[in-house]
Amino acid sequence: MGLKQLRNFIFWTLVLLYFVLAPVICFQALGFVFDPRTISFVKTGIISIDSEPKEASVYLNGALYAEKTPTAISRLRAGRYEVRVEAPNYQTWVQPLEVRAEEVTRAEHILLPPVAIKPSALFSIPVQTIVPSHDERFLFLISQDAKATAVYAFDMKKDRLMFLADHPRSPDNPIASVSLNISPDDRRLLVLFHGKTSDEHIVATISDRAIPISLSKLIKMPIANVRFHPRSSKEMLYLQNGVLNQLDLEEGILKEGILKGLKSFEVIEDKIYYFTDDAHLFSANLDGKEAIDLLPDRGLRRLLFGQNPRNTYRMFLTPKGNAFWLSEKGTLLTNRLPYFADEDVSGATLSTISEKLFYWKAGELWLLDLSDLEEKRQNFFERGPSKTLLWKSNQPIVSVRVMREDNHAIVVTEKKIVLVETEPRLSGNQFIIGNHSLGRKITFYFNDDLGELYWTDLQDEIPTLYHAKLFRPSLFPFSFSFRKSYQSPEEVFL
Amino acid sequence: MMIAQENEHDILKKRADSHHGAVVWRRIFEITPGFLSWFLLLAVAFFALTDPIPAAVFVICFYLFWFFRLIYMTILLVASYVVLARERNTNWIERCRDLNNVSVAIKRAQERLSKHEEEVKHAQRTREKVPITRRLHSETAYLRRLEHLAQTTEQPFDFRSIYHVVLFPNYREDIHILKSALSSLRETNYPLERLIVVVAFEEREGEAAHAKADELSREFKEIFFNLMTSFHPDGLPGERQVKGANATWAAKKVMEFLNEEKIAFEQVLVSCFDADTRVGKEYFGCLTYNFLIRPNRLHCSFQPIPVYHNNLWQAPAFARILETGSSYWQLIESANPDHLVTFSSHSMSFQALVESGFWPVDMISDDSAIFWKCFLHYKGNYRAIPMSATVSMNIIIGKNWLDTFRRIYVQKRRWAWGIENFPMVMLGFLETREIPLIEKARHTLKMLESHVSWATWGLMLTLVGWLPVLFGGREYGFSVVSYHLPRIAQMIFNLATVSMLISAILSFMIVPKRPARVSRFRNLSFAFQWLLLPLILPVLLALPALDAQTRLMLGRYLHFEVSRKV
Repeated sequence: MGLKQLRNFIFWTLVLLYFVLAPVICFQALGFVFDPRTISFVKTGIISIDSEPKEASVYLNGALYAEKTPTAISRLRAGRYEVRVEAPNYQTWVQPLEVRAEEVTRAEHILLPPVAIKPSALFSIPVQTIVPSHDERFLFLISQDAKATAVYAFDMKKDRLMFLADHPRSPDNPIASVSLNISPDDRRLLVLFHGKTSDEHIVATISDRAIPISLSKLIKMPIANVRFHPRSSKEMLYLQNGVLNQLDLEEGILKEGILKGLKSFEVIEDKIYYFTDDAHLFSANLDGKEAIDLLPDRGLRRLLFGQNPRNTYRMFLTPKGNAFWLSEKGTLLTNRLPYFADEDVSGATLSTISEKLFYWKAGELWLLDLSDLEEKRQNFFERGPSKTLLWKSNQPIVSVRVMREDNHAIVVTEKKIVLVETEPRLSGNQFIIGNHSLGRKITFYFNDDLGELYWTDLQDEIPTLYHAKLFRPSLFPFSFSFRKSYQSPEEVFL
Repeated sequence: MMIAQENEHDILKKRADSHHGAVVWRRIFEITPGFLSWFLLLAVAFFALTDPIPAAVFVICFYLFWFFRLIYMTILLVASYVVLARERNTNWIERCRDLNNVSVAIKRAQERLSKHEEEVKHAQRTREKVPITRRLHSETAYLRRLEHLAQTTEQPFDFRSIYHVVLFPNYREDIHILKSALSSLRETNYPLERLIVVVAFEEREGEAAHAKADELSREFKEIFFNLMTSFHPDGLPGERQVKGANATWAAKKVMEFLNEEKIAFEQVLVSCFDADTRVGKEYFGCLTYNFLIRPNRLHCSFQPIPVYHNNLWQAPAFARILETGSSYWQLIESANPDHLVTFSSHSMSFQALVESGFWPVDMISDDSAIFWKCFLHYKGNYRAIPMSATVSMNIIIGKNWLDTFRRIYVQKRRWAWGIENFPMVMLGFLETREIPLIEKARHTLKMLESHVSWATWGLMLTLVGWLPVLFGGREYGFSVVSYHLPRIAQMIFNLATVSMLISAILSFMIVPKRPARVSRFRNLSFAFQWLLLPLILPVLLALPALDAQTRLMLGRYLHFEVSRKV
């Protein structure tokens, strides 16, 4: 055979191979499987399973599957299959999964917590409340004893505790609650000690050696609603008699009257969002210019202010700019049509990677998915907001923290700490992490980077900070979002 | 001997334009390649966003197609490399001499063959066996060629009657680069009194060109049969500022010289080289041999393998890998001579050059355009012959990485501008009925396929192919095909790394010896440079080609920009 003939032979062999293989691979990729019994192609589906820890055993309808996680079980005819995932010394995951033809049923975020979780107390000081910093490096501890109410910063990576500020105990003005406001660069912390008769605002620098500054030495009191300037941690915006002012903490320069007639405000990125005395919600630039009425009157203001005479709201802003307000009375509103989302809501929290708001009322955990809402916009008025009940308990939910990967949440009820799956298709599974005895006063935080859970509980009748390792560190790598979601600070009651 | 005084390209244009609707046809042919490339990319992108499942199926088919093409190209690459390596130490002058008496040459070749067979038997180590086996295979191929020649009635010329004209068209080229090129000619083993060297300057370069010409004349005048310098006037009617115009002007001067010296054009081979081209010792021997053994020798171009070794050790990794890729492409093409078209530095019969009307004076891609001009002029009876010889050139290096990057982009766009041949060839095909339809279809498909794949593959593989995965949406995310696509792609890419490994190994075998002043660690960068492929494919390969095709499609014709080489 000459070279030319050999070349042609190779060429045509490859052409033939391509025309044989390409249809076979494409059919396979589309989920078609040849059934020799019926001599026809059958549409099949896939279950894709992954777990933490990896290498867990998979059972399909009770039968052990050959491969361990991560794996995919393909060529499954449409129908319901019971999937069980097991690993020694870890809790078992069981879930009936619906397989549809040409579709992948994904169970790729299975977390198996250890069977035995060993909590350990962290410090000898009493800790009533914990609040994480934006960058989740620090945990701010609020500690109240017979002498004072103090705030500490706990560096979780370096395992180091720093004193930041305190307020001596006074029988005339006991501290009822503390509110923490962290500067955008996580360098400074504004602590509001909310007393029975008066408040004290202290600005602390997150460092061992810095001396905290009392705002009463720089400006006249009383003030309300203090926030850091979004571009500078040395400047603050605050509300005094309905007027928005700006203070330079280092130079002591005061700029008064940026906006007037305000009830309350939030600063998010380069915008000020504020409620006015006449019950309008506006947004304006940081210099107070270009104010826009965000909620033109459609009967909504009656709803907003009728139910909440104090006009106090927590505000949530998703990465795509969808806003939610949760009134003190439990009315959850969105700026998306038709505004109203739910009522009797006890609390809410946002996903950091998607347009999801998780909220809870009594013992129910709900999901409001705005991306889903956008897809179904045409039928929105008929169907209402797209809400999914994720989990239900007979005990009221105290608080929820959604894990960074969005598919799990640590839910704390009045008695239990539970890991709940929040992926709507797989919801219902729960793993008990532990019990506690603080009732509604419990506060907790889950550090995604360290895989550690921190919570307060009583130790010899003293509120103490505990922690326990649930998962391996860096299980959830940093998730990128164009804009961080925002939650306004919460007032924590002691 | 027919001497075409008017540029063939112009004749074609005029002839075509006189035809009713020729202008329209020209525009259609200019639009076609760009349209096909954009259509392919946009169609996949559109379907990825609107109906991702068919798009995903198409992407799978494309990945498979690419994979099979890659296998085929790798086989051709290895085959060509084997031939090149086999002939690396061949004494071509000796073989040219043999051709004077073929029957004696056959006997001597048989003797050498038996000797090599014995040597192979007695060789102990692989290191000893490899060169002997190569010689054995080379002798076998040579013997087969001689036996074939013995059966033909046509006797080759005596190689001593062959003259070589070597043209170096240049513009503002550094004198050292020109000297280096001429020195490489001086070091060849071909009789220097048979070399006519022409350094073709541009008149618009001014006094500097004349100074360079004087310096070169002083140093090299006595070495060759003749060292000519020419100065191409600027702004001649019908010309653009392109290399072809300069080469044509110089070739016409050579024609006058040959007429004066009464040297028949059919005994002259012309090599048009870039200014930085350095030939190997055996280049002219190999060229002469290939010329002499062809019965249809006057209707042939001869294509060496361009390698970019002159400054290889100084060039950044991304520039090296691109030029290695260019050499590989030429090796692959040379394995399939039916489709071979001249590229960059090449050689041809002077008679064919004159008869076809010299290089086009208004086209940038003169290297391939001259092939097509001859192909059309001789009604399809013209082909390019691959040579088992290399010519070494410079890799473009700029002032810094960014500058190198920009210059390489411009160079690749100029190469991709070779698509300007497509309308010329298509109009020529419409006019030339003598070329068989199947031949026309074969060349049309080859031109379109190579240029469209040049512009689209890199983008398809690295960007567009992933669009269904990235923008398929939620519904697509739950489909079985969305699950399979990344896995199939991964499997194909894993298998394709075998081809990449072969390429990397070959590059090590081709690369010249590391100069003493270059760090040993530089070898490491040669090994890892192939990891840059996913970046280089879309940015420095696909985009310049797409840019060139888009310009042609929109009628925004490219201007010649000289690649400055260090």
